[in-house]
Amino acid sequence: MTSPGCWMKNLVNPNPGLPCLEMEEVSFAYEPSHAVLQAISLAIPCGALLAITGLNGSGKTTFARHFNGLLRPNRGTVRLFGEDIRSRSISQLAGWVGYVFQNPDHQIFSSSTRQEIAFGMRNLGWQEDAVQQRTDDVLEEFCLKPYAEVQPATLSFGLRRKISIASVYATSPRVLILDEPTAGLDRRSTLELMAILEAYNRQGNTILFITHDLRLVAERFPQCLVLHEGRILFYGETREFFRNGDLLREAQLGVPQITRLAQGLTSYGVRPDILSVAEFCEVYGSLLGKGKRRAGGEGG
Amino acid sequence: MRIAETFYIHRPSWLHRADPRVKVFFVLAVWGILFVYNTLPASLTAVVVLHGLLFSAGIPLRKVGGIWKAMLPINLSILIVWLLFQPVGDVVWQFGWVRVTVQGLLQGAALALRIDALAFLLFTWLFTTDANALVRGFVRLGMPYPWGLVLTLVLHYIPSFQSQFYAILEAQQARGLRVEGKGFRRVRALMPVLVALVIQVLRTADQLAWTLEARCFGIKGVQRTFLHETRFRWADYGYLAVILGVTVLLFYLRLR
Amino acid sequence: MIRISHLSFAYPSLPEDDPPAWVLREIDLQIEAGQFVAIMGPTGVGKTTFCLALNGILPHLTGGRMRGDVWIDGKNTKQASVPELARQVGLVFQEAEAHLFNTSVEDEIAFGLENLGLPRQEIRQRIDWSLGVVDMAAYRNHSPARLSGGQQKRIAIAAVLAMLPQVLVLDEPTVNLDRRGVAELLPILRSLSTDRKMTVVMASNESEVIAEYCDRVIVLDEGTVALDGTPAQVFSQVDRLHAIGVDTPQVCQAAVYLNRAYAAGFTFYTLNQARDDLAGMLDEKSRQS
Repeated sequence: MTSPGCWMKNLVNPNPGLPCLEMEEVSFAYEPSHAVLQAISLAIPCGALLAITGLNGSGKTTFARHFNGLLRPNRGTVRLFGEDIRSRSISQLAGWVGYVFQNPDHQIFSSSTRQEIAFGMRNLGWQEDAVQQRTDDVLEEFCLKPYAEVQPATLSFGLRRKISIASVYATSPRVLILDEPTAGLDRRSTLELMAILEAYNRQGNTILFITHDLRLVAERFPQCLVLHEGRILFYGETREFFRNGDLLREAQLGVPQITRLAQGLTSYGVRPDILSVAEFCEVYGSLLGKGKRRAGGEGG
Repeated sequence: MRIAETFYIHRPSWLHRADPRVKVFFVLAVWGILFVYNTLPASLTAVVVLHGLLFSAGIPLRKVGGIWKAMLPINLSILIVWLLFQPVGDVVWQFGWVRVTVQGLLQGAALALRIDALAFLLFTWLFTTDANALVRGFVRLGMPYPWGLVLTLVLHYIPSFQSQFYAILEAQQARGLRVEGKGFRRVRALMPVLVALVIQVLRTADQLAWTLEARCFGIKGVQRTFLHETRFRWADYGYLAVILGVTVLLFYLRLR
Repeated sequence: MIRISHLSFAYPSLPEDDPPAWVLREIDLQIEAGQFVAIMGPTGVGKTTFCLALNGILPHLTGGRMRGDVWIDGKNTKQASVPELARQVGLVFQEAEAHLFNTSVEDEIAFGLENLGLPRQEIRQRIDWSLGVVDMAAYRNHSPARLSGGQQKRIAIAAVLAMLPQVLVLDEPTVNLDRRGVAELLPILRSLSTDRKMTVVMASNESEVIAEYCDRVIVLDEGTVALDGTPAQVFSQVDRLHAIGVDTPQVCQAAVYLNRAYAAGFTFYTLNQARDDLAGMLDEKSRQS
């Protein structure tokens, strides 16, 4: 699948005990006066489906860029499958860590969607027939077949966004980092993308998803990382984060509408950590009492 | 080397307030003087005077130091080349066929300082003149406004495209692109970056044209006005008089 | 104020002899002065194209084929030029922040006013006013490049507002803003519509924000108007909206779900209404038992 002469010995038989991504006391500043990350330490296990959120300027993108070599820490260590990646170049890491940039136009340049999707694989030295096969599969998976021979730069923003995600996904990276992939995307495209990512995650791949769509985080991400002013404010189960009123206030992120609704009805016995509409309705329905269920209504 | 976003350093000083046309005149005048007086004392005087202007304008020490740092390789190369090619005179030190003479040192220093003076002249102008004020000055000197607008846009978009280039380079490297080799091979390797950049530039140009018209640029039958007055104040006339007077005097003394 | 009649539009085809791909099809609409209207629709449906039709960029600067007409306060966009229409229709582009090319906020706002040939005193007054509206008066002498994304967006709006248009059109203004940015922007737009009787047209898919602030919601599907009404009318049709591919406020989804399961008859579409109605029903239940 990948080029011969793989340089990361751990990856040939990754030790299941090792975390996938690690940071140890990582600090980073673009300018000496303005520290963006401050002594960050954490370990992300393999197969995690992790949302990374925080206010604009909290350090989300800076944090993620350390994992594929785009940024090097001023202090501290960054590890991929247990190995310090300090000396690895961005192109070397590209085979293992795929990074989808916030602006799809920073990646799109090819004369056809097919070429664009094949670009990453060709860079990584894949055999041509494997490239063709994988390109066809990815075009199918992302519903991009009708646009296969069209120049991506002429397509609408939403399609360009899809193509840039597809082209990084096509290289089958073990870790997939996406920076605000759903900004400006409609609901249907967002759900389609989540379906693809969740399926990919079930195969054992790690996904880091930077977003400020709290609703999506609540509904689809079991774990989340919340950054605030360059420090970790929270890292753990999403539900626990929404249960903690103080943390929510400090993060200043706001909460999904349905969660706010639940929090406004706690005096009636509604849990404050409601994460989805279905959950809310179930809880509310049980508060109304069983007798009121109308025959033929949808299942709770 | 990245072009700085802007050279302008905002300070409320007399030099900043001077009309941009006065500063253009100043640059031309001093350039003329240095051309005519190409001696070491003249260059040294010019450098000292320019430092005086910069400090009185509130330009921080480290910016001035930054220019000296940038000029260091140029200064050293001039000195070395001069010493190698001017062995005539009183020898101060000798090593093999390399002969360092007093005359060589002095002449090398004179040339280096002259280049420094010109550099500081340029930066005195750039540090104290905001891009928009610069363009306004040119327009008042007779440049048609649309040209002035183009200049403002160029000054804005060149650094912007430069940072876009680096952003795109990073994005493509993250897809495994390797940028190696020298010269032509390197350019070929950079194609994915360059093409993406060109597409962005074209898209920006399109959008920019729309933005300008959507803000009534080019509306027919209207005479365009300007918010900022580019009228000479008494102080500006004063500066012009001093510059003109000194320049004429120096030229007269030299050419007599 | 805005009258759109049988509007259809296709961008120029590549290659040229290909049949036209109609982005907008037979749109018929009227928007009264002072309304705050949201234009929703799946990505790529033509929201941006629709916005461009309101100030003449379409068809004058885009080329392509346009059928039907758009009238702004009686002026036909096919006949008036873009700068002329820009006096009455201020358009804030989605990427407006990238085109703030002046070195100070003051100069940026002055640009459009200088183009209009206004006297200096009036330019200064309008700059004061528009910076006040967007709450950025303290940044008058700052460089736009050093402002945050949300602040840049507000400057872009101020620059357009200063020209005192009767219609303000914004293309996806909230996309790059975080919750703080959105909370700062929307009340400004609301007050422009309510207090200043400015017609505000906003292309956006943020249904919860739209439900709270807008008077009217128009949903585009495949280039044509699929739904048009008040937020209460439009957002109650949750299934239809999801089929089109557009989002709905979570409280509306809850209302539909609860109505189906419990015949509750809820009609709320904002958070406060939902809380009141739901609490009310629980109160009533405990009163009955």
